[in-house]
Amino acid sequence: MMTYKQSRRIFLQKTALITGGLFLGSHFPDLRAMAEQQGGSGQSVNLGLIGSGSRGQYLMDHINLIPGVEVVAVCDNYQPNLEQGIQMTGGKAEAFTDYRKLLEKKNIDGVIIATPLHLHSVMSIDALKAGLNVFCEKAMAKTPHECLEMYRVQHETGKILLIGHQRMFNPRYLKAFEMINRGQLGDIKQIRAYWHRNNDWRRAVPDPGLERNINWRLYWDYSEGLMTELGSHQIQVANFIKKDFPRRVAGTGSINYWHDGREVFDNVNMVYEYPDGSTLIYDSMISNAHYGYEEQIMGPKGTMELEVGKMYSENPPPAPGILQLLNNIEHKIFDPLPLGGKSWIPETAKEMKGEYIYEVDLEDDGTALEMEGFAQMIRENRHSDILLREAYYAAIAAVLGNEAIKRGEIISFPEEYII
Amino acid sequence: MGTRLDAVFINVQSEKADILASQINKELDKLEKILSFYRPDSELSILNRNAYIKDFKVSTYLLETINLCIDYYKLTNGVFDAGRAKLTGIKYLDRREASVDTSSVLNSSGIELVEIKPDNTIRYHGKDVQLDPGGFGKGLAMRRVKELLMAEGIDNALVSFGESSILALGAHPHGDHWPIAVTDIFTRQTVARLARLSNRSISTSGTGFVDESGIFRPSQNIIDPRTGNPLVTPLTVSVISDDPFEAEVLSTSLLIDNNCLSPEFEKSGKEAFAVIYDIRKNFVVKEIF
Repeated sequence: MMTYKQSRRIFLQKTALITGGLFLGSHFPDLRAMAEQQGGSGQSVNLGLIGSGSRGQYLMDHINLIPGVEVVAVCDNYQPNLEQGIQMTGGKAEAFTDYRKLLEKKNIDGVIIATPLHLHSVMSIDALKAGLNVFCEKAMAKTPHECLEMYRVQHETGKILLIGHQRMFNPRYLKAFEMINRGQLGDIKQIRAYWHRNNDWRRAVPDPGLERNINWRLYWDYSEGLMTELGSHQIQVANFIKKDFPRRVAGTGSINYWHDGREVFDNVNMVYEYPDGSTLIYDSMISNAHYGYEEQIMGPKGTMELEVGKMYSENPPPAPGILQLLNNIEHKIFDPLPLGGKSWIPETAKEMKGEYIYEVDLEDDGTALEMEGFAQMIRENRHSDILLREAYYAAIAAVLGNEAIKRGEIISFPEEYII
Repeated sequence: MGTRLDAVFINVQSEKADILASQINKELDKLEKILSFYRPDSELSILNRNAYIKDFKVSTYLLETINLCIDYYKLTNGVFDAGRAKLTGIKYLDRREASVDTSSVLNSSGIELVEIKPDNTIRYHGKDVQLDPGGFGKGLAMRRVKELLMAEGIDNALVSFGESSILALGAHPHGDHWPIAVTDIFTRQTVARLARLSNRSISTSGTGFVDESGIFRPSQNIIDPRTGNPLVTPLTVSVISDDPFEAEVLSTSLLIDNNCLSPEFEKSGKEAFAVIYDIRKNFVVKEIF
């Protein structure tokens, strides 16, 4: 398996070929240009990181791999996180505890926002209005209204707003999208996705007073729970494949295992319906990890499993030579069998069970390319409305899922939020 | 391995055939867990990630496999080189770019840079060394299938791995051997060369494929490890041997260089031939040995 660092150039070249074939096309950063930039030969990009907790640090790990991109400012209102974030810049970045002060800093081109969900909207909007380009972690925002506001302000300011759905930068996913787009599975009739873990989703709290700050994911004031933290990724993938967004959702959810004072559900079970009648069936739980996570894309010609990276044909053609052999044996024919040659068409055998979608495996899940893509978008001054709309509809669908659970009703996608 | 395997057993009850198929599947799964280049958790993948950084202990099976690869590296004067996976990876680049990366990779990869230490740990001495089972994995799998079937007392069977690696045990029920035809790649019907097999294997390697329009497309994955250059003209080489592993290894090696075998290579009981195509899609068969 290659690391991103080892194979970056190959990676970018290949992915450029794939995205060129998708309708992403010109709405994607120029990956070939990125491949040519080595050792920071392109325009340097300075970023500010707002939120240097675990996710912010994860993003910084990846940013540190990118030539010509530097985090010059870090902001967090929790001191241990702030110190860790500064340390990851080699002590060079300027430290802030108030993000608004960071936004006033002169020499930054963009910000990375990795804060709790309820802060995504206000921070992104403030940053856009301050003239900065914004990468904001998924989900886009906590409510449909906030999502719409972010979208509107991005259009108003013309700055870049990229939401952290890294599967859109994962070449295995991009290759799968291309194959699905070319009709290799037929029309997609059902997508099944799930994310199962077995842990309490808690982080250590040194002081009870910090419980809601540190374990914000467990409380409705700050979080939409499993649907946004996990489900929004997979809903986004489903929407991109369907080239649409679901119009109705129904589901159930509850706390059936982690009775520890949390508010958000520890299991969710949803059905989303698209206008053509196809469905996304989604569930997430955090009391069993056996099945892990997966997106299963099903059409009349085949199935793809995107996390594993395999495709399965529904009707694999039989090996012609073997069929002929069986026929000959039955009819007592002793003729030569055409079996000894190289399979000159791409081997049909591979399409039967578990053909790998993407032949080069990388350790990265798309985050490295996503961070580099953000920097490149800044260099090119190229915002991607397609990617933003993907994030928009995924976030709203996720939040509507929770609403469906709470109300015990089938919820329709509100007209006022269709952009 | 992502390749179809078909097996035809002669005079075997269907329940027994089901059991054999299941046993074969289990054996191939075991091999995948050791040798798969695409599974990040396979023993080979873990070795490839670690052996440049530190001495790495491997299982007896993988150690024996590496030793086999070294033996055939010597027998083919370096044409069979299982340590050059990086070169194959570069094939996906625009060819104009390949030369820049190829020379660097050539210097820092290859099985010559794989050291087996006295304590049987493995260490790579080049940053681009990556062991790649692509040129021998099916052959190893077929060898294991042969052992399994013989242990089960199967006298007559034909096993096809992707139709390019064939194991022929015993004979066709209506003859005294298995008649296997290597056909013209363009028509897929004209017999280029007939192989009469009994308790032997044939493996065929080629430089590309013919698409639906009848145009030859180089697959770019047959790379001369000595130069890093892919073979792009339409050509196949088939090798017949009682060892399916040898048949596969040599079919690729002789594809690259018909004259690569050392004088000490024992050719008795074995055959190798090339089917060479011109731009008019006509072919000639050249007997290599």
